[in-house]
Amino acid sequence: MLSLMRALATAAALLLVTAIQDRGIAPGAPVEQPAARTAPVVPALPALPAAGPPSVADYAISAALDVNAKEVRGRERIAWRNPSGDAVPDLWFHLYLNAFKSPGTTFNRESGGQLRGVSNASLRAGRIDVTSMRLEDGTDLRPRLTFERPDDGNPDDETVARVLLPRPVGPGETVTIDVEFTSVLPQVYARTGYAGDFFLIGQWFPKVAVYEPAGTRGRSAGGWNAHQFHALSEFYADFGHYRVDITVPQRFVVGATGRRVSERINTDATRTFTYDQAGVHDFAWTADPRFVEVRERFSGTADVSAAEYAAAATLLGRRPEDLTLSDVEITLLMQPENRPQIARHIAAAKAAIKHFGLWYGPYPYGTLTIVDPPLAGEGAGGMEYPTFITGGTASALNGPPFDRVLIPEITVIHEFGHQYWYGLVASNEFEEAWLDEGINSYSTGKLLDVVYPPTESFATLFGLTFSETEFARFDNTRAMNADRVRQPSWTFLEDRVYAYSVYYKPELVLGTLERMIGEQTMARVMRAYAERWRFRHPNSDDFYAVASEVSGRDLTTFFKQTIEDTGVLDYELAEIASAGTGASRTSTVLVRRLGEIQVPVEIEIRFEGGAVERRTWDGRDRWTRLTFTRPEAVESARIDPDHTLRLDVSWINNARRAEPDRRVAVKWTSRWWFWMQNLLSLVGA
Amino acid sequence: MTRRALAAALGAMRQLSLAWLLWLLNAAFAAAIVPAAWAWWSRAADSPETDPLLERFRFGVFLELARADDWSGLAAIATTALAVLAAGVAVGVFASGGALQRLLYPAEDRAMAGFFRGGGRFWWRFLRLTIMTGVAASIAAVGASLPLLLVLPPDRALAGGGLVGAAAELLPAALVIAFFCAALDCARVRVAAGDERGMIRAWFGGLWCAVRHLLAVGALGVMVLGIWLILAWAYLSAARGLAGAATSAILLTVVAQQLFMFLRSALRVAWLAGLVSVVRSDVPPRVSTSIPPTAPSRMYDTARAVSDAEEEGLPVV
Repeated sequence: MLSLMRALATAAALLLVTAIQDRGIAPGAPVEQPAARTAPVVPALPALPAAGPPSVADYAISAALDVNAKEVRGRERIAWRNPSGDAVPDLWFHLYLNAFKSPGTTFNRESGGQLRGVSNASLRAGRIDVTSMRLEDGTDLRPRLTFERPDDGNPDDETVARVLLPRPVGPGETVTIDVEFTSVLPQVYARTGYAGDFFLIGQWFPKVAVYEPAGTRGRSAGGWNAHQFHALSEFYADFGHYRVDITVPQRFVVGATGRRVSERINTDATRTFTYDQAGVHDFAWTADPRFVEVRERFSGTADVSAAEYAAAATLLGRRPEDLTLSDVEITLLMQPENRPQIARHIAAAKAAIKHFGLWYGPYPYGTLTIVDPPLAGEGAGGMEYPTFITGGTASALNGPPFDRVLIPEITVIHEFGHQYWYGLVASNEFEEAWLDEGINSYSTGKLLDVVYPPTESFATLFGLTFSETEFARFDNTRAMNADRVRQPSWTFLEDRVYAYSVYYKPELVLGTLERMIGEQTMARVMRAYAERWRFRHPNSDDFYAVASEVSGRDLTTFFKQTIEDTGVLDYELAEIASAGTGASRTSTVLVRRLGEIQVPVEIEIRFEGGAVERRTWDGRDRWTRLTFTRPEAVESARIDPDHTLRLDVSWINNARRAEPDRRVAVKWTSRWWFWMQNLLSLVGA
Repeated sequence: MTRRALAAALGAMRQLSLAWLLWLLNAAFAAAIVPAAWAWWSRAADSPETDPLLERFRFGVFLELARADDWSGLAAIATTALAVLAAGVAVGVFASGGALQRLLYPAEDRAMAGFFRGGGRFWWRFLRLTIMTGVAASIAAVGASLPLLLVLPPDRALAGGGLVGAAAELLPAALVIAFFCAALDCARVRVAAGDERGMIRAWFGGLWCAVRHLLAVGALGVMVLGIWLILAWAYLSAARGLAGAATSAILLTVVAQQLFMFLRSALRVAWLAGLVSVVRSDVPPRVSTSIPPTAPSRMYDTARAVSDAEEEGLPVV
């Protein structure tokens, strides 16, 4: 409780300081340029990395962090290769820090100035100023830069920009441009920004949007796919090779996307780190002098047993030697107060690298950086960038009784899962967020059930257990099915419906599918999808096609019902009746389909004396009545006795007894009475 | 003083009629949530899906039940519980008055009549004392926690956080609240024993009494807490042993629960009796208007109270 009070006091103090520091940018007001001051020197650009597949946009960036002004001064050279057969006349960019520029931005209008419960009221705004943009030959492109609002036409939104080129970029040609920019960081509440000396710097440089050639994600003609920064969406970008110089004061510990290839000390008490990574579509970094830096190595030989390779090979129908995993350098940047959780974070990361690697293909990058944001920077927590993820924990979870609440493990596993579902299989999170969040939630749940006892895969607290599946089913109600799973992220009814539709419902859909087609077939579906669409941009139809092809069943109807419609899955064991005695006894069981989704179901009937019989119903009609002629009366009946239908909105109405059994009611009513007596004794004394 | 207080407390544990009365009042009042709870849990009777709840609490099954009626049943139960708790403060004040009447003046009325007469007589005065204590204890608890709040850097927990850290952080506030609760009961005893009318004076008198007899009050508190912990351990052991789906096990658990609550009521009586013994040394007994008993009382303290008063030169009528 005191920790909470301290946190509230700290938050209040931060808000006060922020209110004083806040520049108070009003909607529509011209954006101030940063006041002249002694700025950190931005070192010369590193050489543009050699392009290699998959590379559409390669970046050489040099960035210097001004820790006092909370700004990043940068310059970048972008080489964009036209991946299509079209002549492309323009370039589109993401300037996503402008989402925090004024209250009128699309992000702020949609979010009401908060994300995941963290508010930006009184926090410093952020923005990105493009100060120069030139072609390689020196042609000034800055005057040709215009802001675009493809999603909502909001004139206050400057998160997407377009520059008309002097001449189109031909098919397969590469255009190189040089950009200078200043990123004014917001106080962190929505993924990016600063909190004191903690910096989490994401969406911080002008980045080229995705040009989708004809045929990509169902497009009939090529074109740019660039969306404004929305409250309920994450990102979509193209693959490239990044080489980034980061200059910070010497006392800062730094972590970033990719491998650190060099480090030098400068004459002005700063250090410059160079990071390099190919085959990624974003670059994020962090700096904080308080970080405890832990390095650990995942070994494809020592951390994975021969038996585990063999089991995975059997599951996937491959040879064990085809599944060999590479080594990964893990860097954990931990807040000092969370030191007791270092082993938990490392174990979770290793489990994720191992199992996701075995299931979905080897993790192709040599590094993984995990960042533990401080409490004041919790808005940066639980986020994924290529080879770089942020965790989410608190010191209260350091020891008993909360050390079996698996929030840190779940966060690390989930965010690492995004290295596959977002990182490698680069779906469009603006338009079909379920393809990364939903598939990743399913993957996270599966992994948790492997690593922990399934009943304890979310938390064990004071002897009570809570599983990940139970957590996922929490919002599985008719009311929460207000939107389709597959629809643009900014068109959902509300945050909670978005979270259910994009994270949990797909997890339940895929969990149901796995139990319908079998674990082995499902594993092969996921493997085929992950391999076929690695370093590419699939859409939902591509997933459906792989699932149907690998399973050998047309699953389109199943996906249309569950992903592209708002119907629910709900069966009810409505009635058990019996007539006659002895050999002429006839028992009937009435089963009803209350929901719109039609899937085959199994019904288990238990008779007096212990006999059990199972029947299958195709679920197409609204009801069916099963009839049994045998001397024993039906004792109970149960639809879906193995809990195959994870998506069923109620498991309670799936079963019925012939005669009610009130033991549960007696047991728990008396217990609640007892607890009430204790509470009364406490307040009454 | 300490030995006498402990002896008085232990002796009072034999006052079964008062303990029964307190238990009955508490049980009857708490039973207000039973109809709603029974209706809610009875929905489990038809579905074998709820069978895991017979063995132990399963959060997932509980959530399935809650979602099945869109949480409305639970909301009704929670509302009822909150209302019962709010009224429970007033009822607790009444029970304290009744218990003190029985302990201080056992010979004046029949047991039941004395209890209700005391409850009514002191209710308004005790309620004011309770409110004053609630306000003061809240302020003092925050004050006791402030040094820790200021000393510790933000984002850091004591002893690496967790249970130990949380307990250490809560300890100052818990001790302060315990002290104020003891002082409240001291003040109540003073009011009941001396028929005081000025509640501010009585409240400060209670505080002073708790400070002046810190050792005796503390020893009494430790003894009561110790016995309570033993009872709680015994109950939890019994409940664990009785865990199971059999009807007999379920019913025996209910018996164990109520036995625990009855013994807890007896502990409350013991605590108050111990405090009566402590406060007696400070406050002259109220002049009784009733006819003295013709036979020696079975109650432990009447004769002692008279002799104590005589020793201290106080008037005894």
